[in-house]
Amino acid sequence: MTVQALIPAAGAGLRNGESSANVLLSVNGRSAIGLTLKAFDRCDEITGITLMVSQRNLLAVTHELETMTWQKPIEVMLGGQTRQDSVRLGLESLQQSPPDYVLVHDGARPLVSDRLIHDGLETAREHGAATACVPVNHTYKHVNGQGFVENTIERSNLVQVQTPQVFRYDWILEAHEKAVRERIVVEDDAELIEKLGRPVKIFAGSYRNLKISTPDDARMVEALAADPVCA
Amino acid sequence: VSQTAAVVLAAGAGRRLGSATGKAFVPVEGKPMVAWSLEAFDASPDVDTILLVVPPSDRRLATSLKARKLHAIADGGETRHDSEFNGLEALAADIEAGDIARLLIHDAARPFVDLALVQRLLEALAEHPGAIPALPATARLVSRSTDGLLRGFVDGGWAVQTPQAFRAGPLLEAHRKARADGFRGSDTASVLERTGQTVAVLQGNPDTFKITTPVDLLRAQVVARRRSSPPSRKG
Repeated sequence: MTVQALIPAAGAGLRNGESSANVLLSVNGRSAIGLTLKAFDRCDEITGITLMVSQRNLLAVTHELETMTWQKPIEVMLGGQTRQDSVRLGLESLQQSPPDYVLVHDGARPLVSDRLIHDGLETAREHGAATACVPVNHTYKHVNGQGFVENTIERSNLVQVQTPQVFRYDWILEAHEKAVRERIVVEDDAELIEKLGRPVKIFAGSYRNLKISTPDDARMVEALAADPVCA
Repeated sequence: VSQTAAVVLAAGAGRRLGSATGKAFVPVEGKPMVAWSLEAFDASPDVDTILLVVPPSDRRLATSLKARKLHAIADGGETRHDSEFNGLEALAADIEAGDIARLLIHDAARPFVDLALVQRLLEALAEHPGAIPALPATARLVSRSTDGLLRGFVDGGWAVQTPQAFRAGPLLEAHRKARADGFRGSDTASVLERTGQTVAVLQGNPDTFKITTPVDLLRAQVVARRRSSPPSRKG
């Protein structure tokens, strides 16, 4: 069984007010993206890695990768305007020799563990599509255009989505091609599969598996790396 | 004179943080989590008095807390909603007499209070019965079906924070009505919302996040250290 890790790390961020996932913030002297790639490079269940970066980050990322040693082939390619575009370009680059499964993971989540990768693959093998999620601990509301509370969102069944997300290659490629034809815009890949009517099975994510957006997050990853039992 | 009271809810369990005491008494950078909020309200010119709600088992710990404006301690209940109700009932006489006109309801699990925001929340009460801080959700939210499948993404959610500010009379009344109806809210504003009253939303502060898990506790350390270090030029 072949599994390609697909790492969107274009991370321009702050487009349309979305929070910036900063793959170049320094964590213990390494960039976040270097640490994320290491996690997949050392995992036996991953066949190869494809990394999608922005033009702006290309030199910095390439330089970072050259200072480290790797066991697996790492393809570095230019991503698109959005995360969705980047993942689609990554998927299309694999069409010559398609893998059985694709694992999509945010470049700015360096604390992905072997356990998360393994559980994602196991779940996808059984269900075709899988995403990591963690329970929600907060109250969320909808706010109207005038700045007033519209309603409190029922939270008993609410979870928040993380990566890794693992898919049958044929499913996720088909979903992305359909999205282009029908101009469907989504924030993540599990949403795209769900929109096309296929089931996406949830597996347990981890609060450790945070996404680096701010300098505080980078300090958090350093603290968590030094404290392997904190979860 | 009509005053502003801060009700600090410190009755949550510490189990998830591996603590035998209540969560509010777990140390954050060398002092009990709840002490951070008490110090903040002590320093706020907008707050006149503080009521602390703690589990009966933490009463002894609570009496050792030093806060100039801390005037009363009430017993926590089974849920956050119940603790809040107990706090309001402890202040009911002052609210009904008109001595307390405004309430700030705050979770002790949020140690880093933004006092400039507190001022804006209280100012908003001139126009509206309730005002709360919130931030657009940074995480993608989705419902989970009973068989563990994704079922419907939730767009445009805002993560609400505390302190939440209210006109005291309407909140007490709404809480009593909730009790009569058997309603329990996951936050304070939901109690007012169900009576059809408007709640204004103000931009929150990321530092005022809630501590639930050990990972959050670690973040509190990171934030406390950043806030106590001199501001750097590079931001």
